[in-house]
Amino acid sequence: MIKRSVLFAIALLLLYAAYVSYGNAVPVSQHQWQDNTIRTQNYSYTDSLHKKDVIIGTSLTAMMEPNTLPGDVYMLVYPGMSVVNGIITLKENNIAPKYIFIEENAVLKPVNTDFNDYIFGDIHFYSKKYFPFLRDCYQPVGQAAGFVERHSAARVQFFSDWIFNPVLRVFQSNPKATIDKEAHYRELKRRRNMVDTAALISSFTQLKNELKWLEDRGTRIYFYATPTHPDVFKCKQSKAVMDAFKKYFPPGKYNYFEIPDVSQYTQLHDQLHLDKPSAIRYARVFSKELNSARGH
Amino acid sequence: MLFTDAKFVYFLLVVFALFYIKPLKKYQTQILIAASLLFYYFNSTTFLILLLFSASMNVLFSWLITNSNSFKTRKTFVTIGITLNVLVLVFFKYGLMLVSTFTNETSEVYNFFMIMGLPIGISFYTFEGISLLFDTYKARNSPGYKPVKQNFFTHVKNVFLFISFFPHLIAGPILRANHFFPQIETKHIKNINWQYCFRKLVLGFFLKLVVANNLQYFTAWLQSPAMDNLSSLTLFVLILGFTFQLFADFAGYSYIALGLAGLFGYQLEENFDYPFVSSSLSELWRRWHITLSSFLRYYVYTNLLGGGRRGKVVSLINIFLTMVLAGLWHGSKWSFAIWGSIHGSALVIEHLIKKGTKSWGFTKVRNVLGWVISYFFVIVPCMALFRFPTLQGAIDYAILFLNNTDYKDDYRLITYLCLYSSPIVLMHLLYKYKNTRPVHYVFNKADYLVYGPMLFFIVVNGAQSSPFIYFNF
Repeated sequence: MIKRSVLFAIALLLLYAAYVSYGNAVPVSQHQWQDNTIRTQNYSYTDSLHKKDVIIGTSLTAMMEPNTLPGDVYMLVYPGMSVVNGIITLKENNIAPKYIFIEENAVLKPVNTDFNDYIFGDIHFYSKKYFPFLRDCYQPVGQAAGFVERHSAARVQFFSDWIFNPVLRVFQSNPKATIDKEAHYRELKRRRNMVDTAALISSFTQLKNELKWLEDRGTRIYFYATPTHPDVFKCKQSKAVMDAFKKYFPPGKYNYFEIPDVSQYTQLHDQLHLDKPSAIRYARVFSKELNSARGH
Repeated sequence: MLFTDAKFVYFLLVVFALFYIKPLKKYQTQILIAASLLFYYFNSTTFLILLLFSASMNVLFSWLITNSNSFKTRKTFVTIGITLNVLVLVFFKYGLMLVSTFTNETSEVYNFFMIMGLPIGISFYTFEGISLLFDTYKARNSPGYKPVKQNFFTHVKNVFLFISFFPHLIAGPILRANHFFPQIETKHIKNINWQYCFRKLVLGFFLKLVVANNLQYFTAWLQSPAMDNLSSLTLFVLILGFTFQLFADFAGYSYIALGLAGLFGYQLEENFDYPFVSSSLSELWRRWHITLSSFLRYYVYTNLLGGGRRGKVVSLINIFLTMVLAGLWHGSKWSFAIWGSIHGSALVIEHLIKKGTKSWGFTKVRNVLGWVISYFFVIVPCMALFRFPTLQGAIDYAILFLNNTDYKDDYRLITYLCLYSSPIVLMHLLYKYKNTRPVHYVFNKADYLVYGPMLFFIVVNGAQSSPFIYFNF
């Protein structure tokens, strides 16, 4: 039974490899976490990308579309994770770009070591390098999801409109009960005005240690801050972070982009991230900074 | 170090080789104890000392109970031993909850408990300690008691292995002393039931890596403010997805634990028996986390509270109290007590309805109704109390669910949730129809048609390893 199961699994793997190689499989990202994985795997397994300069950031930078930025720059951005994850990716690949641009705003986000362990663990890294059908962008569920969604959306909508919602409406109070949506932002604001000195020291010490590897290989490092809501941009925590940057990475020895005029980017989709029109406008300013830093 | 980490594979290979190597055969128990303590050390360095203390305490009291000739002294020892176990659990697991109820977040006591954190697996190994002391006491008092001649060193070895055996150490199944102790003997590689181990391991890894670990990225939408603009249907599918994620995560862990224990010649008790086919709440609790349910039924409901010996009303109160305790066992938050109270109240109501409608017939209709009411009105809605860290979060979810009927459904999210939940539905359907000819044929003659695809999905569609949800309990 064990032997037959293993043989059957191998047969399925071979069929699937043939489908990915010769069928019409397209890379699919199922969720934000997988976006990060796919972006890193693309970078690691595509030699031509290694020559590009690199932007390392978080979800704040990710709001800018890659096609709105210069083509010779790769966005190694990780929504939900730390910029240090981006630097670890470069180290693991043993790549020191000529220029890297590091986002300052969310530097206190803790490093997710599980993420890099998953991608660069020997078994995962080499199996996915040499067998592309094993890469996360070709997972069978991701491949099937589009087909299933197309064929079931109408049925789901029928069920939702004619059965599920009418039944629920019977239980709705009049007027409708509401939740305190602002509570979340109040809590965020409260936290942003708290400065954890120990966390600050530990984050900057780690960033400095990780960057040393790149500096030793001649990489030129630039820091930049993306615009956010003025309240967030000027909160106590942001101020402490900016001060710490100047202390750990003194201007003169390190390079900084000009601080953006946050009053120009008031359209934000959640009081933190730029919305689409703002992101396009900021990308123009950012691209100019990128080009002038590299002497283009 | 999780069961799903690559590091664990190396650890397992080394332990397996040492365990069966001929010159070391007489040290098998010591090898497993050392490996288990090392495994715990990798997962929770600080609290290894607490595990050692708990195990030593139970070694001492079980030894004293066994070797005491007076009934009164034995009763004193078992009472002290169980009380100490409970105190350890209350201090380390419920300290923060109790302190935060009576003091504010700036107090020093609060900070102390906040920094201390929760020792991994404490609920499991403390319950095993209680089981050991109580079973020893019961056995020692039974009329046909035959003393087992063993020296103190052997007793220490056996108890340490019982409590710390790494497959079950962190998240169960909760072992019963009288089931595990008779299995402690020299093991031989030729006696391993490879097919049993293979089945359990493949199913366990499939549930954890393919189902639970993928579902977690979608159920992450169940938090404010991400869920604020989702439609009622999307919110419903999300909580349903979380129910399946919780099952896949914990059942996956339990199956892996069974498979790993099997590799070392030990058979642990099953923890899940297709819970989603249950047609009532009482049946669900006989099929979900079976080792906890049977622990609570035997030690708390029957022996501590007196079960149904003092009349029907007291019996129903005891059911309710047992479920409140079951709720609190799951987490040191009052929302878990509310979760337990709702389940307890529902169980009491179910008992009363069942008694009143016994003679009505229509068994099939009643079973379907029981299934619908149990799942869609009790189990799934109560999952919100499990999912959200605060009671307010669960209340917000309920308000959004009832009011967001005019929002657009997120078909993409619904599709992924349904796709990743489908193996759970399929495995329960196969179980339900196990006696039909095609299903019977597959499971008896061609089960590679089931395990082969699971292996394929583990390789191609497994998500990143992440901690098991029950580690928090």
